[in-house]
Amino acid sequence: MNNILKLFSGGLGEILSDQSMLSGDDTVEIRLRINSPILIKKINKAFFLDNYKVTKKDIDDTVANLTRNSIHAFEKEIRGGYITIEGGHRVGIGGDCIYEGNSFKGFKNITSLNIRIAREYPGCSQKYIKYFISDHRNIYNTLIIGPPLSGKTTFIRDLCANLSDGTKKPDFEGCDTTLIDERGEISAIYNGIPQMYVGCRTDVLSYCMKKEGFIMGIRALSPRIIISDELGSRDDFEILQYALKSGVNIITTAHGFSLDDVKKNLFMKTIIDNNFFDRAVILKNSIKPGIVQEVYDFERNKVIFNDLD
Amino acid sequence: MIWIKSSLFILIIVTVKLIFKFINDNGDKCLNNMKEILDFTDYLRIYSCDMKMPFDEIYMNYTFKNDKIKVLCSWLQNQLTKDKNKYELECSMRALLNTPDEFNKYFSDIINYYGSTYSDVLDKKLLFTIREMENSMKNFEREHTEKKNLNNRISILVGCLIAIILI
Repeated sequence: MNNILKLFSGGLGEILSDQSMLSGDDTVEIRLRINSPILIKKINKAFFLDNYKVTKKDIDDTVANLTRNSIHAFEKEIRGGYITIEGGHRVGIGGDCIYEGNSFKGFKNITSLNIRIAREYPGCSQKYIKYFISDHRNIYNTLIIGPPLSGKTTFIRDLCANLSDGTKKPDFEGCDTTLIDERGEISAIYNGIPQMYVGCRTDVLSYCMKKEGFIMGIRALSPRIIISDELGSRDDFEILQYALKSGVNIITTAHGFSLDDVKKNLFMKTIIDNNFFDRAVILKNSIKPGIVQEVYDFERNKVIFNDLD
Repeated sequence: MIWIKSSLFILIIVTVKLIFKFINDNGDKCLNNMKEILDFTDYLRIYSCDMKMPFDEIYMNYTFKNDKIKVLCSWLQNQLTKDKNKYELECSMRALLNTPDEFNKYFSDIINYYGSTYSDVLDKKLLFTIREMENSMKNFEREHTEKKNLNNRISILVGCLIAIILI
């Protein structure tokens, strides 16, 4: 927490470091909004620090600290709406948007910041790893489905580490894995160094477009598995087809509450209907991230695990 | 007696010549400093705008030929982080490198915009700063070359004159 507090501008840093409420491990978010009090979100509750209203200078100074006085170095991330800072924490940005033609370029005035505190949950996928590995020690092409804040990223990160390092139960010796981290959030890259553990046999392609990432990965890194996040765009069908044709297994995620919900996205429906995936793992929307609600087997066309089991 | 006077005469001429050389060397050093500051600013532009690197990494990666320029750039880094006081940087430049005020003014202008603009705008602003610094350096170089030539010409004459007066 101290690493995060030092990034706030002078006054804010002092106010926040006085808060004994921040001392626990359960702080999820710190929100700064111009002319509003600071909002702190914990796992179970949220509260305002009513004694201070955030000023424009506070936000500008905090942004300067977060970007190490070099906003140009974070341009690509800012285009995605957030900055990743040391420790893998993600800072969401709100403000006046600037466009160049039709494409979003950045923010003119930043008026709010949402510091999401990243935490690793090592072993959160361990219980479910057997649903990803077949009897012949092959990896199932798997789609992980979950609503926002269900812990898709946390789950896929831990899964990546487990498949890369290998597991004892089931017996799997680990394999070369390429992680295509399009938004830099799975491995939480900062200064080129992954801030989160993703496994000893994992090559990370961070801030890399999915299409280029799959092609580069298959041609140059010869992985057995490619792990990426958030499918659902027009190009994804071709990318997956190319990867599967090359004999690489894929594990990826999609937003949604259920398989039917995901199929509302026409691109995803095409991918699922073409049987690109062997299994779908649906995550539960719970306080603890990475809890599996259901595992669906496309070949057998039935649910093979249910949380109620 | 005559050989003492001759020796004194030559000694005075050489001393005066050396004083003029020292004056010229100061200008040369100043010019070299300006060239290195310009090199650094161009490096800063390329690595900030094309490679999207933050200032602290650029500062670490750049190979400084002159320790004084390294000190100046670390002051610039401090000013960017803390007060953003360009006048303080200008004064420091004058004291440390003795570079012309106009040149210092353009370099310290970087404080006003670096770090708070996106790379396309930063690129344009740094290019403008570099161009203005180059113009200022060229003016200084022209004046310095003229002065240097004049000094070289008159140094022996002045030496002889002083020697004659003194002896």
